[in-house]
Amino acid sequence: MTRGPAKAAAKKGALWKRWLSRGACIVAFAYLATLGVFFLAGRRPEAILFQSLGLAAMPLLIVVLFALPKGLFRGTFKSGASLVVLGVSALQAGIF
Amino acid sequence: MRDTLRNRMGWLHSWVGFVSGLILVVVFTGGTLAMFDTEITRWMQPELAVLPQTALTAEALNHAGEQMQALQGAGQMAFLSLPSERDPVLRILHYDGHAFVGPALSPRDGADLNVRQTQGGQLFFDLHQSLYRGPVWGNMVTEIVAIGLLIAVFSGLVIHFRNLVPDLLLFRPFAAPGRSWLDAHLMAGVLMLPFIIMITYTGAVIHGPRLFPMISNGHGGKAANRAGPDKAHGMASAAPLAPMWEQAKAVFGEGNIGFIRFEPRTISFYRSDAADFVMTRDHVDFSPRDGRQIGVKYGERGIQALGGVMRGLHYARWGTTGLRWLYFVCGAVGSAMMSAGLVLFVIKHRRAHGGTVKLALAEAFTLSVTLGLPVAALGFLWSNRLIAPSLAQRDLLEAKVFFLLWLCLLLHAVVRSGAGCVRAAWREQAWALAVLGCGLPLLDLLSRRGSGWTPQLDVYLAVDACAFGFGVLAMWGQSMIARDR
Repeated sequence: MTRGPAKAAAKKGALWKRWLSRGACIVAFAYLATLGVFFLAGRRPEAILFQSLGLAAMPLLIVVLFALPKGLFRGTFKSGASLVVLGVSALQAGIF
Repeated sequence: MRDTLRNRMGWLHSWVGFVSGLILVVVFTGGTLAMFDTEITRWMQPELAVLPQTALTAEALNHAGEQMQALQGAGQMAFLSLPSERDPVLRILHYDGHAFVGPALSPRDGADLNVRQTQGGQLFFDLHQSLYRGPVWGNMVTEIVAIGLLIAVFSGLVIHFRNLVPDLLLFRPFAAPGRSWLDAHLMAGVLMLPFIIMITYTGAVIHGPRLFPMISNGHGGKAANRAGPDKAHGMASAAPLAPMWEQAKAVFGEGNIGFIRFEPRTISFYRSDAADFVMTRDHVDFSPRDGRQIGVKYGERGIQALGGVMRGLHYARWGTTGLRWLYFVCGAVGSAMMSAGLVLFVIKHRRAHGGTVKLALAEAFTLSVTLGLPVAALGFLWSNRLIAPSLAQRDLLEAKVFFLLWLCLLLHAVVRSGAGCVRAAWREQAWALAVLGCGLPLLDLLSRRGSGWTPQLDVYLAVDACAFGFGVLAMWGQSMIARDR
């Protein structure tokens, strides 16, 4: 009797933690991606347009990444997209 | 629970929505009230009720200019706000860290009208844009929650995409509480979707530089271009303002000058925000020594004006009274939608976490932003009429009353929900809202009796009617809570 609900609660707790860590990764990724776009567009005359679009795209990116199934989500990050985003942001910020 | 798209989106919507929503209700309610910030300030200065409507005269402007120059000589930073349709007096304003405050002058002769000092509607503006926490941290928090709202809206759209039209039509106020709150949340959300996306997105763009410091806010480095203090020129401003005003009107048009800034090397006449949809800071500069026109500086043009378009859409200062009422209603419905979402969240978690401290706190915060904030706002209006008009620093005292009352209501909510009486707490705070709201017209009548109260369609009647309307709504709401018992 008690094993069923306890197991379900544990499963739910694990899912909650997984979604929370996924959310944190996605927010960091989206922020850095937006930052990279802003740095890239910073010197262009139409920078303000890119900035406005970037602010609309950031929450959309978070929702889209969160909507990805588990396998596809891991694949996206393993494919090196996060490294590219980090690299562009760091390069433009003058870290390297 | 399985890891499906709907569950993932539901989790994202409910948690991002709840955490951001507690702040967003405050931001939305503050912004809704700030749509009529000038009118609320006028209501809070009842001395202006008896002021006859007069056009701005050259004598008044020159007299105000002399006072400004004296202030400038004393090293005080202030600017002169010119009369407009919304605010028919001259005002010498300075920023006190939260609001632009200062004396009001007669547009006929520039004499001090001795109005009571108050932050007025600007308290709600500051609450809206920075939660009364200053332009750095406060703006950053509002920026983060604005992005949180966009995430909640997009994830909500994914969840309800197939049922958008039925959600728009279905409302069952007499169904079970959970069902009726969900109907209200969905109906208001779908109905106000374009407005909520527009107002949140433009707000996020306006405060974008707080989260992304490298981006421009569209003001094009206005402050950086300005000349710094120059003691050699600082005391030389003696030219009368009226001739400059005439020249500035020739540039921007009659009635299109918003305010005048006094700086060591220039006196700048800024175009009114109400003059155009695109909100810029175009200004005509004059020499303070001889009143000679130095030049006209226009804000960004072309694609660079996008920042002005965003500000124009968000602030709607160009709009008519009807448009401001539309924004007000949309903002109020948006606040109600978010409050309904918060209530749904706590109802959903009541089943699994009933009786825990976490849930009691969630219930208390939900109650204190949903009903506590409007009660504190009404308390702020009451304090305006009950605190002596001549008391020193009464504007700060009024703000303290607002925040202390709100804190008391939060404590009341914490205590009552901690004791398991959250429903009673909702009824008690609804009663407080009803009493303060329905009593406000009477207070206005009594406190303005000595200064020639006359029944007419003006800002006083509008504020009284709104407060009365919200009071009646709260009375109905508490009876609904009592019925569901």
